[in-house]
Amino acid sequence: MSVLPFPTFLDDVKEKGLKKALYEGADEVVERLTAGLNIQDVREALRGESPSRRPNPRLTPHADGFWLHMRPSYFNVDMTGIYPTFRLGWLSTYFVFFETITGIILMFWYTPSPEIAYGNMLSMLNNVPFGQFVRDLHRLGAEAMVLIVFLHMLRTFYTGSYKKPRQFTWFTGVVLLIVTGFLSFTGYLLPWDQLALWAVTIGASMAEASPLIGEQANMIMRGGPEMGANGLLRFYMAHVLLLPVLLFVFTGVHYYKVIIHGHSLPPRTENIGEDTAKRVPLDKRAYFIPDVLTSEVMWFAVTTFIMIVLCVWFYHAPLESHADPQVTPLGTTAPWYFLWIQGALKLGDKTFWGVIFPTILLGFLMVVPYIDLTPSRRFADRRLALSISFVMLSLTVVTSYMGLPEFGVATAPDQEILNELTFEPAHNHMGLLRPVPFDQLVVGAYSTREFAAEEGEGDAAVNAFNEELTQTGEMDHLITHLQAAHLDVQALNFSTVPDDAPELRHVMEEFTHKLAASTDEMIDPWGTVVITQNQNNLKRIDITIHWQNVLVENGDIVRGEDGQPLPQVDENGEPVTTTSSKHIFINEDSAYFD
Amino acid sequence: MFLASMVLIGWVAINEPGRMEAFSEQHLARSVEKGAELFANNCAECHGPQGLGSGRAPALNNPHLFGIDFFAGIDADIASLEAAQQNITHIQAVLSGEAEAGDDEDTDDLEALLVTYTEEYGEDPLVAIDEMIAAKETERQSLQSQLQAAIDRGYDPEDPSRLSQLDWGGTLDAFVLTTLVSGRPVSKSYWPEPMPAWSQTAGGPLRQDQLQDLTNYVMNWGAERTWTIEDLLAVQQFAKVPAEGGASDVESVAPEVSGIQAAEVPDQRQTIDDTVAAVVEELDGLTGDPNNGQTLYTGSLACSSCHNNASIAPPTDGTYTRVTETRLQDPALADYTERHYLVESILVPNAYISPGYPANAMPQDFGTRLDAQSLADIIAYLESQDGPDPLAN
Repeated sequence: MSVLPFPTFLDDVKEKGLKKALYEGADEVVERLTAGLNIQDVREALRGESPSRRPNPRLTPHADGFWLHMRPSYFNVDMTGIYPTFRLGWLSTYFVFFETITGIILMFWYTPSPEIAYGNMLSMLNNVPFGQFVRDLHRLGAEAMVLIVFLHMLRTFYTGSYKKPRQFTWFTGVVLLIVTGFLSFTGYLLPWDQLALWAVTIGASMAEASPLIGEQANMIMRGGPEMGANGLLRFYMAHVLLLPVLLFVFTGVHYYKVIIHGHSLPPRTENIGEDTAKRVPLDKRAYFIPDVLTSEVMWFAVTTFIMIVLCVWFYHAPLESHADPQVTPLGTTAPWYFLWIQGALKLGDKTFWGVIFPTILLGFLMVVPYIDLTPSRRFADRRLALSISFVMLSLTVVTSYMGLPEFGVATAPDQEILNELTFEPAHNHMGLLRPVPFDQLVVGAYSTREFAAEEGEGDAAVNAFNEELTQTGEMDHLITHLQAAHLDVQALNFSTVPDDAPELRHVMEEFTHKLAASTDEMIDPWGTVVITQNQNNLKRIDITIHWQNVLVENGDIVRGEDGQPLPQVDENGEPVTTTSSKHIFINEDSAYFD
Repeated sequence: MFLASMVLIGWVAINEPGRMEAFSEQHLARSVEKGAELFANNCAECHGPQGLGSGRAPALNNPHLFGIDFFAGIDADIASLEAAQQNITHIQAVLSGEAEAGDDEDTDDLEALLVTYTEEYGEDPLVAIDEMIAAKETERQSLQSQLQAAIDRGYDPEDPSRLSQLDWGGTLDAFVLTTLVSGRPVSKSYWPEPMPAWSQTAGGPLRQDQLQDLTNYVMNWGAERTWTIEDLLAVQQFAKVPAEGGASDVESVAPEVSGIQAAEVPDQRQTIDDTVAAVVEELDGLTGDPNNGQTLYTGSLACSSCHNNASIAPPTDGTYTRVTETRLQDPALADYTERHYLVESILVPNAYISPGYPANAMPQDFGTRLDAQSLADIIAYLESQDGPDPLAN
């Protein structure tokens, strides 16, 4: 006996021998850590054997432990396959934690200030090991989470799982969907690049359209009339504090309700109006330890692996140029999950379609279980509900399509074409000229006349073009135009695109093609591309479009007898022409082709 | 699965240094592109489209800025020849007993050294070296005469580095950046107008990242470049040294490239009048948005960079009052309205030069950069900034 009033490990060793004392000590530690399972129990569970002692020790962790007390000790075996849950609820939870962890890592590298936020992004990309990787994971996880939470809602709707007694579970679910949307939306702004600023500006301008409180709502959200330092800080606080707190609280309530009511079974396994989720017959029980637990570990591994594979090879979070409130990029869109609102906005009144309509829609979603009181969860009995859902889904798809910039946004065709040739990388696309290899951007002046001509007539067409421009004085006009854009050019002589620049040739063909497709708004258009050397590794490309204006009366194009638009003429009967141009610089090392 | 994930993460770890380096390079390249755009819009007006300078501002595409000493090679050669010459004289003196050998000198070693010199320069090394020095001096003369055109424009071959000229101890990019941030508040004493501050911190229009883009662009003129004499000769205007009261006594600029010419009153006066009148008429149908006007004025068009500094351009404050009470009192502008005057001043800046300010100071291309609505917005902004005219006192 030791001097202490209780036996020590040494006493144990003396009494039982070293080996046995060690084993028993370890056994006790394991049993405490697992809240009830000793080493033998763990081994049996892992081997898939039945527990060798009674009462079943695998239930004690659920009764005594903190972490597992929130998980049921057994599931209905009908609920453990892919159908009917598709694991969507589990995946949503997975992404809550996935986003929290990656988000906390990113917080170490980020400062919510317009002065340095973008610089933080750059340093994450060029100076922080795994910086890009973690950012990619977080961004992809965010997009995946929005999608999965939405699909989870659809699944719950189609299996009728929102019906009594799970009305409130559904309600909290809709809240979670909205919170997820806002989390993703607030996160969108934080990189402080053009994509972020303009997507969020469009989104935030909807708040402005709210009746009565619009201006205040807008002010509270952005902290000023325009998105600036205050707005960024507010979005950041919402993103890392307010919304996550809401998310965790509602996730807690949501999951608590799921457990209280049990996972609703596939509709066909129950009689109509019956809810047997909590009464699982003995032969239908799949115990959490070990079956569900190992399955979840497997799902965890697979999902994480997929995310990693995607972010290593297939997905990189976009980063456009620094946010600039003064430069509105052509074709700005809201994030894809808000496209349906942007599309609805094009239907008319901003207040109705931008605020009232989405509010009604989401409000309707929340109260669906309190309106649809029919007890049956089977498809055949739910024709009205299913029809309504299909209509709403189609509406979402259609309005989302309408939200795209391609739909219903009128831009002058010359601006459209100039933009298509030059725009900076955005939404994983870029202007046609940017990816042309640097050595194929051969210094010189080229025109679309070369490509509008018949095959083999290019040379002659270019010569004729030079002559025509010189004679009509258009050449001087063009040079003055370029000089006004600070291009150091004294004379121009157009030539054919060299044979060893096939990609430049290809762009010129596209350019010609686009002009030809716009002759309804521009008569006899031609375009030029002037490439000059600006610095050793830097070329400047000036694109010009020249055309005769069409005659427009009361907003309509006036057409001749042949259906062709008529030219606008000045008082001397001369056609009125317009020249518009744009230039970009391309650096040898910019690697736009990646 | 866990193992596969770990392997992939390991793979990422191995590739990280390369990826980060590639990103840095790519980002710098794109930053140069943005800087080029900013330069064309804001700087080319004074510093020239190719950065070769004009009568209003010095060249930046300029070996002097990058501290290139074209005489360095020749001077080093001459110095080493002179050192050899001194050495030989000393050795010969010691060997002939005319001078004492140094403490650490050994006669045998000195003899051996003399032999090496003889092998290198011939039987009479002193004469040979004299000839070589003379040849180098001629070479230097000829180089100097090649550079004469540049020297005439203010280039000082004895002081070939801008940074040492100003006693700037920092790096060149820090020098460029700091000049952009604060401008040159006092340079009015040796340039037609001082350089404005470009940083938003100092009241200018550009953000910090844009200044960095511009700096990267300017620095890119010197990147991986072997400067030649042609590069020096291409320079139209060299920097001036304020400490010497400026080199303003040097008639520096070749007149045909100078931005400063007598205000050209264009022959097409009638055309301009018609155009401006048409625009004014078009504006009558438009309502300007002062907020957007401010965005343009202080942002992309960078009007405020000059118009917030009364020594460069008439200040923004009180524009309307000034136009009404001062400008329109000029008989030359008798039948003008305020709006007409402002439109003309923006679209055709040289049509009327405000007393006390130089001609050609303002970019001439706003006609191609503005549509009618933007013009209306800017005028609405100017209207919103009205107040007492600071120039009136």
